[in-house]
Amino acid sequence: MASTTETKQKKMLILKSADNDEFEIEESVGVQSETIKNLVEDGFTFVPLPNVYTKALIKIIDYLKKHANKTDSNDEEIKTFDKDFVNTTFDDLFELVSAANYLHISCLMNMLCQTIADRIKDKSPEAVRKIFHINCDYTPEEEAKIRKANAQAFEGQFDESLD
Amino acid sequence: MGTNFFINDNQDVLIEILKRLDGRSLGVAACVCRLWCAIARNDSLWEHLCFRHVSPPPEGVRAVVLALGGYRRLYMVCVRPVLNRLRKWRPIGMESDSEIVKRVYWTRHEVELSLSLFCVDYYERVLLGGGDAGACTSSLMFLCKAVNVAPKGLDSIILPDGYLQEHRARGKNETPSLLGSSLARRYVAGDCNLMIDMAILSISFRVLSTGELYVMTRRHKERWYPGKQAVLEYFLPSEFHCSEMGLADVDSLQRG
Repeated sequence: MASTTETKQKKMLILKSADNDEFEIEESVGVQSETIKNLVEDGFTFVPLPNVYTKALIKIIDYLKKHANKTDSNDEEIKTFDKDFVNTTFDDLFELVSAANYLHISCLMNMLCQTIADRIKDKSPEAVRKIFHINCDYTPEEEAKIRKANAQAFEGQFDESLD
Repeated sequence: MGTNFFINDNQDVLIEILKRLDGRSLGVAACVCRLWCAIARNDSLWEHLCFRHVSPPPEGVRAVVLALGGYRRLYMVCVRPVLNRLRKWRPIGMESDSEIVKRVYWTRHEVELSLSLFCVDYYERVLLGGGDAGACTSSLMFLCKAVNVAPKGLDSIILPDGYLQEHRARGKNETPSLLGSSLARRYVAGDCNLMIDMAILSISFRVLSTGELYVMTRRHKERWYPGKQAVLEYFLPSEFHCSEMGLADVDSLQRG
């Protein structure tokens, strides 16, 4: 753990979420986000994040802290952390992916998109719509046509669960 | 949470997610709504899908793939069968790690095979008169299906199952014209390898700005032929097509 004198020397940043909660983090942790890095380079130490809500921001700060301490020896630990991190509901994943996209954290973005893609594999169009809260904008005729054009995708069983 | 984010308002995120689907799920995605359909049709998505397991991705094939029908078709006609085949084989000895089983890694050989098959598909479809050619006996698309004849200790050896039938039909002494004598000998000796199989299929392309397609086969190195004759002459067993395609044309090309 860092001693008191070291803590004083560390540059700190304040992040403010969309619901006005403030979080203090080390600059070295924050700059893993390209968005924050750009602001820091412009001299900002107070970073408002109008698109990132508190619940997502807490998780993302956790992620950044964990990944800032990456060494050769804690590889397994980080893998376990990442696995737990994405083990959540679709709605939470969407909120996180939206935040990661806004903050430009590419490794997190990659992991979240891959997780979402893996989890919608083998789902039916109906299940995918429910998961993403999408209204179908096809007419019944159009839908029949597009299904026919993609008939290969409809061979075999679908997973109709929504998690 | 959940109320603040709507995927269709975040197309950049949606593209990143769809890019990571497999072919089947991308087909399903096209049926979700109009926006998803428009994105799922984008050829760059299929380009990613075709070669995402290849490192480094093959260079200089883009113009050829686009000229021959695009990446979506490449995936559907050629990459998918090869992928399915690899999925069956690769898990051997890797059961302990499910992640590895899920991700299929491609070598240069699978890329070459896919591209070669794609060119065969193109010639059969466009130059031999469309859909019928795919079903006729001289089609080379059977190369998509393969049997594993790997001797123990080697993996990833691919032989088209048509090859074996050809070989048996002709008896041991005769060599199937399609796959060449060296391969046949090696097969009989129980020692064949992937490279030879690929070498037979391997061809190079050059697409000119005028849209003309030229082909160089490995057998006729350093010579570029207008695509059709050269490829057919090279690929098809002589008894199927010699008379139709006019070998004389190819001869005159070689001389002049």
